Amino acid sequence: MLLWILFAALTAAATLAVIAPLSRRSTEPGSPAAGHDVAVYRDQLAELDRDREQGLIGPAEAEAARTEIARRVLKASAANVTGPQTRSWAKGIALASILFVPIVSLGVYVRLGSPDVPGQPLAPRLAAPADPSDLGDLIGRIEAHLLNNPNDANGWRVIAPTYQRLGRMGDAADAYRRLIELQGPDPQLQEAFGETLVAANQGMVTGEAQTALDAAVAADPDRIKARYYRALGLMQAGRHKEAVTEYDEITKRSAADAPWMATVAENRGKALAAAGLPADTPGPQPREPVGAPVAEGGSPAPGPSSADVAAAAEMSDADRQAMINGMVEQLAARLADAPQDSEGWQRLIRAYAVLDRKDDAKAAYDRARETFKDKPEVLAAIDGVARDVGIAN
Amino acid sequence: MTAEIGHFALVLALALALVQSVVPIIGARRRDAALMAVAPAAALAQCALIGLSFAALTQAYVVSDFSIVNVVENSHSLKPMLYKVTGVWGNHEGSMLLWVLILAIFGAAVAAFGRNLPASLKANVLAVQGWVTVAFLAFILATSNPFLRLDPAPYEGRDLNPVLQDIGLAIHPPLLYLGYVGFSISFAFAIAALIEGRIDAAWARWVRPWTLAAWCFLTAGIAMGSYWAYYELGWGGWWFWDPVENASFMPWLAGTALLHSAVVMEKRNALKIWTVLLAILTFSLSLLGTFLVRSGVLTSVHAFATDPARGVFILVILCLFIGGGLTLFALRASTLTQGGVFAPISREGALVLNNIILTAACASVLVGTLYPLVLEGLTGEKISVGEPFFNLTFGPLMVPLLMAVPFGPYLAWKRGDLLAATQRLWFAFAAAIVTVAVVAYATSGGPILAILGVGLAAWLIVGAVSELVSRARFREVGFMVGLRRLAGLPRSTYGTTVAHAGLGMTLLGIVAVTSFQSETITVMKPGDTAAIGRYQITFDGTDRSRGPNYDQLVVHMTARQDGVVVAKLDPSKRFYTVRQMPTTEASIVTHGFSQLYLTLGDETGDGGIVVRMWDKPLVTLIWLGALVMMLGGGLSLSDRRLRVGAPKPARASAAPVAAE
Repeated sequence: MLLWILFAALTAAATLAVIAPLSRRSTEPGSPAAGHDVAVYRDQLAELDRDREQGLIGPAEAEAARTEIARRVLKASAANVTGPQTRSWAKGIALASILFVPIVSLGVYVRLGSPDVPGQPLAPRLAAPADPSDLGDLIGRIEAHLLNNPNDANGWRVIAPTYQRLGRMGDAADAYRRLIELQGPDPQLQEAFGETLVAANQGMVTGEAQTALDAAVAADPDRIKARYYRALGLMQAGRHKEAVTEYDEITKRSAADAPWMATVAENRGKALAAAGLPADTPGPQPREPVGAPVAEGGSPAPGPSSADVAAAAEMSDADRQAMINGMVEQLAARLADAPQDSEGWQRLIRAYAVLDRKDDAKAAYDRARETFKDKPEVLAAIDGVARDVGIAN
Repeated sequence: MTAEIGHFALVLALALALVQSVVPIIGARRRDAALMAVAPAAALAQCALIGLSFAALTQAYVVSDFSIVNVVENSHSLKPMLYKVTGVWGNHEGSMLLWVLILAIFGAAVAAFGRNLPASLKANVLAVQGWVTVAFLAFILATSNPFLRLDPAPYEGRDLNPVLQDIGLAIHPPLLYLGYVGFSISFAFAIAALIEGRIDAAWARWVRPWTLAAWCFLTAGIAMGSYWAYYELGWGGWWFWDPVENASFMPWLAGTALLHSAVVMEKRNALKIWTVLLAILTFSLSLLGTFLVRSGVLTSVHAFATDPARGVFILVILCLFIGGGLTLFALRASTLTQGGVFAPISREGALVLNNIILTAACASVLVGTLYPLVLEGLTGEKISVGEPFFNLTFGPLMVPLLMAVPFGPYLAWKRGDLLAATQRLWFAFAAAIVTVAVVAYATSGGPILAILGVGLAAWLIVGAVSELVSRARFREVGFMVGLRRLAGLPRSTYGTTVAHAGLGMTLLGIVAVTSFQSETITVMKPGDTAAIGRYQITFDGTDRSRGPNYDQLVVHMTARQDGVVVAKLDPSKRFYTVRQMPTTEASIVTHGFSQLYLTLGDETGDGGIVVRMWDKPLVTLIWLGALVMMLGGGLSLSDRRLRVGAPKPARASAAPVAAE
């Protein structure tokens, strides 16, 4: 409200500035230009006298100059007749201005301005206690801190899982990547990094993600979630037998009543089929059921992270299928627009193969070959993927 | 809330500018004093509003209000306070706001100090100013609004381009804009004269000081920009014939011509039409400069943002004002009365020569600047017109002009005596010859052109000063009276002398640094010593540290001359973390008028670092000369004495009726 009062005051002052000269009573007719000329010439005459006293001009030249100026004065004086003063339009213009100035200024301002957004100087914002219920505010503070202190591992450690929880998977992956750079390899971080990368890439396990997951599993064989995503990656890469082995490893290291067992068993079945192995290939036995996935003493069950796998596992089959299909269609659409992305084509071919859409996979493969026909090294990589998934020419 | 007040004030200023651009013209046509009186009132109110708007934006930068897009994009909470303030115009939107602020200040100055101006002329001048203001305010509000908001606001900004985080940003743009925009006053006077169809005596008296003031600011602004580029960019050069530099140099050349033709007009009532045309051209070149720099046609430090909409908008403004101005000129120039006649050899003639050469030089710079752009636009071919082109075109044009400069002040008005002037210049000529001989001996026969260049500089400086001495007529009237005569000379005479001597200083600096500088590029490790010019440079060690918003690597060096320590130098490389941009900070030691210049290149990995070193003789004269020129302009500006045409007594049979 105060803002609008101030606007009104400003407008009033500006309008007043325009109409004040218009409403002045004694509007003397403006001195005609010729009058000014005469004044200038009189100044010049006075100047001439001063110059002569100082000896800056010889008497003969000064006399000539005086004559010349005097001639100009006469000419100007002759022209010095005031033209007829017409009836003033002052009233009309004043009235128009009273309407024009506020209408134009308010009209333009309403279109451009943001009167509802308060000013937000930084110092009071930082001084105000953080509102714990306002996650955005907290994140903003941490981001500001990290922008200036990009080497502060603690900041990255706080913000990475927060991004993950908010579904900002790309940001989360970047944060984990930075944290690993700062802290050195750590299986838990690599697992989280791999997971967020996969999520950020619409479920596709990229090379960078696979490397991180491999490292996590190598350093800590009991990282169930890392193994789960690693197995997905192996499947997508067409390494079906290794995927089966990975699922067997998960089964070995999980309690029989762990919530992800059903999903693991189902995926293992798909991997067996893809590898051309009989569906009843025997697998290892899980551990004794413990009633809860969080394990007994010494058990390396991966704590909270298993809940996420559980969440994925609990998703109904149809939902999951829809989600994956959606992601694949997105990827396909993106490649249609911007085909110069060899990694994207490789992912798409794998994805179609995983979804058992062989014809689509074949079509994507042909299009990719067409796109990169001038780049043998890219073609080789694409051919490799095609061979992996069994559609190569 | 301050931001919104600033925004509203800007919109309100647009409304007032619209009133100012229409009502006074009607008033002048109808001789309606009340309507004409609106012009100064609107101009003053408008200046206050735009000032308020600028203050609001500055306040937002000072308190880091990141709810404003412009602040987020160009500021950072950790930036030192000086750069927070200068950052206001260190970006496209803010710099345009500064542009109109200065325009409004000039308009207000005309309104406030123009009491002795004929009412109708004043009304028309302010109305033309109003048109320019409307165009640029509309441009700002439509395409470059600095007051756009962001909600929710981020907690940190993206920082200012590190190259701009320098004291130079506090000085260079405001000075340059004072120059550019100052020429808008001459333009407004020219257009007003064309609208009225007459140029009265007051016109010339009014145009010259405004032109002179704008010229002083532009001179200082260009010099400052050149020095800034010299020490900040780390290339060791001071002028690159870069299109952006040319964009400011062209108005300067045209403005210099205007300045001289305005003298003729003020004093002799001659060259009226030409002066009006030059006034239009000078401001047109200022607008062209703004277009080139702001539209994104050129990429450089100055092109803060590229947005086709902005380019098109400025192009439209450009066409309207240049095209409109020239059309009006074509229609109305014939109604202006012709001025007095003069012989080719006369002060007027000398000034015409000056005008012709300066205009031709300006045209050559214009061609060199625009040709590559036009070619790229038409054929897509990228060519670079650089130093060789300008050395071949601009250089040969300048030499005869510089040789002619000392003659000008010696020639009398209307009819001069070249022989007498030459005789009175014998001392300057002798001084130039002696200088050439001395330099040739000292450099044991250095490049002949450079030696002649030094001689030309001496000719300019001594020629300018000797004019003062001969005016005092020491030999005829004796020493004491001569001194008194010297003290009694008008300040504008001193202004001419000082400005011409400044030109000679700049020339001396340019010639010296172009021909006699020495340069070394070498890889150095701690303990190494390298030689540059008269110095031995020792690499003492390195140091890493943190500044407020950057990390830096400082290299400590000691310069010795014959074993004696003469200076400690600390060139550094900075890395600005937010923008992820590196900069090099040169270390410069000034000794006399010369400078030792050290800058760092890449690190080689094995502990070494590339070091570039220059010993630049007399380099500071380039900028000092420009400052002296500006001082000369200031002296002339402070001379409130009216100039009176002093014709010779009519000894010739057919003395023309002088100057009418």
